[in-house]
Amino acid sequence: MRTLAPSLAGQVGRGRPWPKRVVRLATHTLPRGPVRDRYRAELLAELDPLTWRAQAKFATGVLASSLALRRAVSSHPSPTPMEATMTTPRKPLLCRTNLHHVWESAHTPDGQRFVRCAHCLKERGDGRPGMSVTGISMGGMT
Amino acid sequence: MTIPTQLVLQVFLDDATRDRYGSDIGAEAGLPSGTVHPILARLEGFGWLESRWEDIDPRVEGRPARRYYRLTGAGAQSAQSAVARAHRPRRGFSLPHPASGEA
Repeated sequence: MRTLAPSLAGQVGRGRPWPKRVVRLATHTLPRGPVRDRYRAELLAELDPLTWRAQAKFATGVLASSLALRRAVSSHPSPTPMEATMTTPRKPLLCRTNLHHVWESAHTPDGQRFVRCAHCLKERGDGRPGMSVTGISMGGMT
Repeated sequence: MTIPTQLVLQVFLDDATRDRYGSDIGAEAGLPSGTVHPILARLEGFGWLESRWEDIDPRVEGRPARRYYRLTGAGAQSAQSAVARAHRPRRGFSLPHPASGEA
């Protein structure tokens, strides 16, 4: 049996199973982490005291507007400085797995040419010393 | 500004000192469930609303803690002017009056 996150423990009350499940499903569209936990707990708390019929109606309404909630939450991200520091832009899957890059030619400000991936900006080196590997590669799989 | 957003703001402006939770606001504004939370999230993002968890013991109360919303100081001013602007009739747009006396 799945256990609730500590932030939700003790907050979920007498809601019937399927409206609760629908609300959980609806909040799956939200960014993972504190935002999702908050809205899930908030919506489940509002679902809890309702009658069976009202719960069904509430859960359906929440599901129908889940994408609107996602847009509203995403349009004003308010990361804390630490979250902002730790957030990195998403790389395409093929770049992250180092299976495929879209190489393009580029120039440094002083006119030196090098080749980089157009999607993830990874630089291509051919392994010879002194070539264009200027950045630090965390993957080490060039 | 959309009409549902105006209705939500009007609920808050009716009594700016009262804290309200989502379903409560929806019921007062006459909006269907589900439409209120995206509006609240957007208004909170603008800084017009602030929210807090209800300070209760769920075991004692027999229900989970709710999330309560209220207008911020700046939000109250902005909401007032936004609602007033939204209610003001637009100039240069009026329905044509039927000409009297014509067939």
